[in-house]
Amino acid sequence: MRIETIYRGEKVTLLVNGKAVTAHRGETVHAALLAAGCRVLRKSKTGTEFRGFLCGMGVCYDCLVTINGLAGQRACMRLVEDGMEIRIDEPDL
Amino acid sequence: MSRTCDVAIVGAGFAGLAAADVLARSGLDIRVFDENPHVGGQLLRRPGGTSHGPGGFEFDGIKRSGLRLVARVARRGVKVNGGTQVLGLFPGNTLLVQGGDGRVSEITARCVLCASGARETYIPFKGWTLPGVISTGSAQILIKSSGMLPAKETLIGGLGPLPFVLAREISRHGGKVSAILDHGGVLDKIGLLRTLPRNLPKLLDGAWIMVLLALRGIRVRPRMRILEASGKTRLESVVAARASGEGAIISGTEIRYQTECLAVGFGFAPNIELLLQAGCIAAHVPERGGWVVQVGDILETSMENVFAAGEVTGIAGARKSLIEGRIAGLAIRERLGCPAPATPQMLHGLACERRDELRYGAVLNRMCRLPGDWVKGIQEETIICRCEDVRMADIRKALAHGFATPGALRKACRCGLGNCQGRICSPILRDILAAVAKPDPARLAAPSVRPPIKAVRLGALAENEEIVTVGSASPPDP
Amino acid sequence: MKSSMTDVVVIGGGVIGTSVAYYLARRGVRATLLERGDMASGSAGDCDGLVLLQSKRPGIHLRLAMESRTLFDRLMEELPVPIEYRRGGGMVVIETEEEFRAMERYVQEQRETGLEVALLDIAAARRMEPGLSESLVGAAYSPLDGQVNPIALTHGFALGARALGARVRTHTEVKGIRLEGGRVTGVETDQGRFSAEVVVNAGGVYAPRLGEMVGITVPIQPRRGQLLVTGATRPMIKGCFISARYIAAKHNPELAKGKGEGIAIEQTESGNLLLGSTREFVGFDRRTTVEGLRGIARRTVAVLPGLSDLNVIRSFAGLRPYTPDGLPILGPVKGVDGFIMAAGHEGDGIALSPITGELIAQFIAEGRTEFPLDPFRLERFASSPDTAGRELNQDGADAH
Repeated sequence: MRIETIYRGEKVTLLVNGKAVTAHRGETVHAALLAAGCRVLRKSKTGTEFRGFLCGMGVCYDCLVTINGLAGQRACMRLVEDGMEIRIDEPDL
Repeated sequence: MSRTCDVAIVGAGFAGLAAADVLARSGLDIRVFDENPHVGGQLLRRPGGTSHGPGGFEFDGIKRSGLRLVARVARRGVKVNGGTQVLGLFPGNTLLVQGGDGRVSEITARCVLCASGARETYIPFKGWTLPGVISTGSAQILIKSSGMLPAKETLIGGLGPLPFVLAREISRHGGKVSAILDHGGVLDKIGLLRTLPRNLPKLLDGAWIMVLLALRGIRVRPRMRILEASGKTRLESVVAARASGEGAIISGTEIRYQTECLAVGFGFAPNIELLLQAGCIAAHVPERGGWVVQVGDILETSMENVFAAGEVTGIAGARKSLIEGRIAGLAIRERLGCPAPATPQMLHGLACERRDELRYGAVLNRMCRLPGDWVKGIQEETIICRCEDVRMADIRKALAHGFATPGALRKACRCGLGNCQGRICSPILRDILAAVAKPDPARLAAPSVRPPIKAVRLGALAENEEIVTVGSASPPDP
Repeated sequence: MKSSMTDVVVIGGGVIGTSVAYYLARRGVRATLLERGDMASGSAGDCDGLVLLQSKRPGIHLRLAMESRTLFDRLMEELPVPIEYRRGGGMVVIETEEEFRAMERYVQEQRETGLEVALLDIAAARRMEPGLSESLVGAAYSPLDGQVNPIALTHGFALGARALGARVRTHTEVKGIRLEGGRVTGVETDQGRFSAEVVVNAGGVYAPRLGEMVGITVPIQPRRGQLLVTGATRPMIKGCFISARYIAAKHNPELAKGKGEGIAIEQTESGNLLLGSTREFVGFDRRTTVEGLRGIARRTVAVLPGLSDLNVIRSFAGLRPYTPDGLPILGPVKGVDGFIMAAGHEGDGIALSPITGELIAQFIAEGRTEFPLDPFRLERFASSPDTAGRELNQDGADAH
């Protein structure tokens, strides 16, 4: 769902659960994951439900992923970097 | 970064930048902090993590003014510390700050300006936690900051102008909008006419959006209520129905939409957490959007040399933020002994403009309230605290046991004890308490906020310049 | 004004007051619990849940705690709310050789009192808790140490008391206590008058104010403890941890250097880690501070370096009701018949709440207790002038 007409930064490659995913400099991890089809990220606190993205601006702490080994990172507040390793706890792809 | 400065500004949106603009000409040492990688706050987002670039035409030139402001502030040499979160404000005006490199440090300012803006509020419904249910703001950010549509086709719902503005953005960029489920009605919007003639450009923009949506055949359904979102692991369908003027669901009007993305927007809440944590007095003012920090004419809070500007003093949009940023900047310059020329006249003019914008804000905020006793309709399985999976049934049980204040519910149900520290659920909880438990209003106190106001890595807090030795052979010094 | 008849009024809806009300109700004594705010709105709502025996001074204090601990198993079954009591074992981490030598003596005394405890070198300690830092010297370990959910415990006592016939009134503030001829006859509140033959002062850090209402001096002072909370995470530790230094700050002035602060760490049932603590005399100020946050973070990662990557999501502070000798004030008060003290547990309130409730209820119902109350009575302060007027030095350790 990338908008065709927008000027984009240079391509970067991310590793999402070990798989290579292309993104563009200037995009958030949130956007890159969404473009790759990821809407589900983890289970809820009690494990009865799933969580993905909600507020997109760092308030809700729904979109927690592991980035470069550090858990509990908000995907919406991080810009992609080449070689970034992202782990999603409960992907449903 | 040195340990002290003259002015620390928290937030580089309209208010923070307007203040920085005024202060930049004073020779004072100012620091600006923003947790985002870009400058300009929620409203000035452009692809590439910058705030430059093309945008659609708008009658209201506020965004154009904003972009000019961003450029001007940069030209004047004000550096914004991006990717930086402020963790707390402590006695003596010391801020605990985590920089983009992850390091935590302290900086003491003679004056602090909190311009931390607003976040969206939510009206919960069964299944709203499913991946695929997002906020309208989240969709806007995807489009503006990352050049991404939230989905091929998006269903939109909510109150106030947000759903319409988003629909316009999505369709402009080639996306599809299934429908707009307006929880308000046509009559709610009439109130906006009272803000003429000053707000003519905004209203023209609004009217223009409605025309464009009609031209594209995007269905707008007024007086709808989202009843349920369902799906196995992610959103698959949404059921909505019409509600009467008093808020009762009209049976037989249910519509089901098959969709993977529902964007909801119900209004805003001020981000006053830093000010609450510091000990500033706040008040619950519905026409200002809920809990706001109390400020005087020059926007000083109840704490000396702590100022607040923008959405934190009341939800009213970008223009008020610009005006208040200027007021705070002028007031701080005067307080620190380098007043701008003609300050009294400027403050007088700004005060008048501020009053006008507050009136506009009151209309907006009234639009963002659901009619009737909507809390009664919250289904038992509806999650109220997303972080801790607390459902309406748990809350009703706690209320029945006599836990009837926000603090008591926190202790009884764990509502608000999760990662978001109650930012999402507090406004909802307040409405539930006000409606269901009918307590003494004095008991609906503002949530108590302790630092860190945003999550911070334990190791980052632990690091310090001093060398720490553990398990030394010799006894420690007395 | 409304007037209500009751046998016993318990003032204070914290863990102590609710425990007393519960054990009274169990014995069929008519009790009314009065709390001016919400249940657990005082110290019981702002503390960790450690139920430790190792931190209790060997002798009467430790024996009291051991009695209390056995009651927790029963409470798990009796109370209407899950209290999340777990006996995962506890470690007193030792950071210097000096501390190790002091702990050798301490462990000896603990064993003499009857506690099951072992002194381990760091290798043995790490086999039990791999997260411990290699640069520590060792740890004292007891399998009897554990933890509970203090808020659930307080709610459990309150709801349990109510289910057994006690009246539990929140948002009811005691304004005065009525005396007639040196006897308690009732209390005045902002919601009406309650007649009673017995009034229990379970006011925690506010116990002195209640004491003033009957003309007695209660030497309890608030001592702040700050705590950090991490986000919920997978199990990182098996049991709980405190520092040898932390025990020292409470009991042994030779070990208490500087601030005398150490760690107090547990992982709760919900997966969050509670990281403490500080011990500060700052009046009734319940704010957390930069020094507190940083200090606790530093001390934590020095002991459990693997916790560094956890997110701290908030902090809070509670006020411990401190007494000059570190023992709670329990039992009847000379000169004020019917006025019973049950306060001053300084950091041990949660662990000692069951036995306190049981003993006070036993005393009220039967006039005697199986476990001696005399060492805990208020009069002990008047009889030794240097304890009553003892001055505290800067770091809060008792000055000798």
